[in-house]
Amino acid sequence: MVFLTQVNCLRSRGPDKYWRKAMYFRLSWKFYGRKRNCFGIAVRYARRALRYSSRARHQRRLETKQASTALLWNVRIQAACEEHKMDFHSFMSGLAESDIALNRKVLNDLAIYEPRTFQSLVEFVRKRNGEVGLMSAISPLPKGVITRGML
Amino acid sequence: MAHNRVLQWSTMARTWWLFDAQHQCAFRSASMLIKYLQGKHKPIYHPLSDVGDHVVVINTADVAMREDYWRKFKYFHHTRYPGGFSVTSAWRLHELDPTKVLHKAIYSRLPGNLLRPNMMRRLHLYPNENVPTEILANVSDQIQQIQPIPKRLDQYTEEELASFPKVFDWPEDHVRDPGQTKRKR
Repeated sequence: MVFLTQVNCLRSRGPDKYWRKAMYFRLSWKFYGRKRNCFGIAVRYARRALRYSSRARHQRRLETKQASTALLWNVRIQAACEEHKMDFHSFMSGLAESDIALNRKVLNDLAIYEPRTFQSLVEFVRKRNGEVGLMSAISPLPKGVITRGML
Repeated sequence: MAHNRVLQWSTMARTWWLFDAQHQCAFRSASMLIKYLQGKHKPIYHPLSDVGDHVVVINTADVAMREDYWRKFKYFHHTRYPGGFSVTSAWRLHELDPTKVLHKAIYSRLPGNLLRPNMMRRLHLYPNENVPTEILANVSDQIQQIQPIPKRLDQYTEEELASFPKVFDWPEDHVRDPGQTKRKR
């Protein structure tokens, strides 16, 4: 920019106040009241919001890693069971009683990345649960399942 | 594999489900439908990722309630002005808007986080079977009804009625004239 007088040239030096303020007003656009438009107040709340958001980012990672993961596994395995019309509890107990030592983490991974493997597990448990009760005498045999009783 | 990319698309794609609310309990259907709106029926579910599906509900005008809940079940509202409290019975709300009962039942059952408005936007409620073609064109699967629809006596054929086993015939004068039995209140 070309300044014809010395005064304007002096004024233009230093940090650009307008853009510095605009930077904070961009963060405070959704605040309520004077926190939104008065710079002195807006800048304090905008900085606090940034602190909160970075803290929440770490907290969220921790929470998803620790507390809710086991519950999430349950929900996901339940969803995968329902895709094959299988009850979650009878599936888990059926696996445990057949000495198939797969924990929820592994079952969760299988349900997502190897759905056919998970389906075969479900088919196995369904056949095995049918053999346990009195319904075994009349139930039809699913394809591709060989149990000890058939040999 | 060459089609891995396509597998991923179809895993992450939003499915459109159709649910017929004819003679279904509004509250129990709502508990079942939120699973589809949240995406809890998929093994890839995560509460922070928005994997819910679209649900199109038809015949919401014919939803059912157990016992006399149409009369007993109340919706409360307060405008926060003095004297602004109001109570509406379920039958009255249903009369005003036949989709409202199911809408409120589902809204109240969804978790109250920032994903809820978007989940509600993916719920399409219609009082009867007249669904816009652009909505119905997306539907690819249907959700099973939660309770069997009872069959009325006039829906049975003559053959079925004749073949139904019975021990004896009622006498002719057993059924009185309905006009005579009406009591005055």
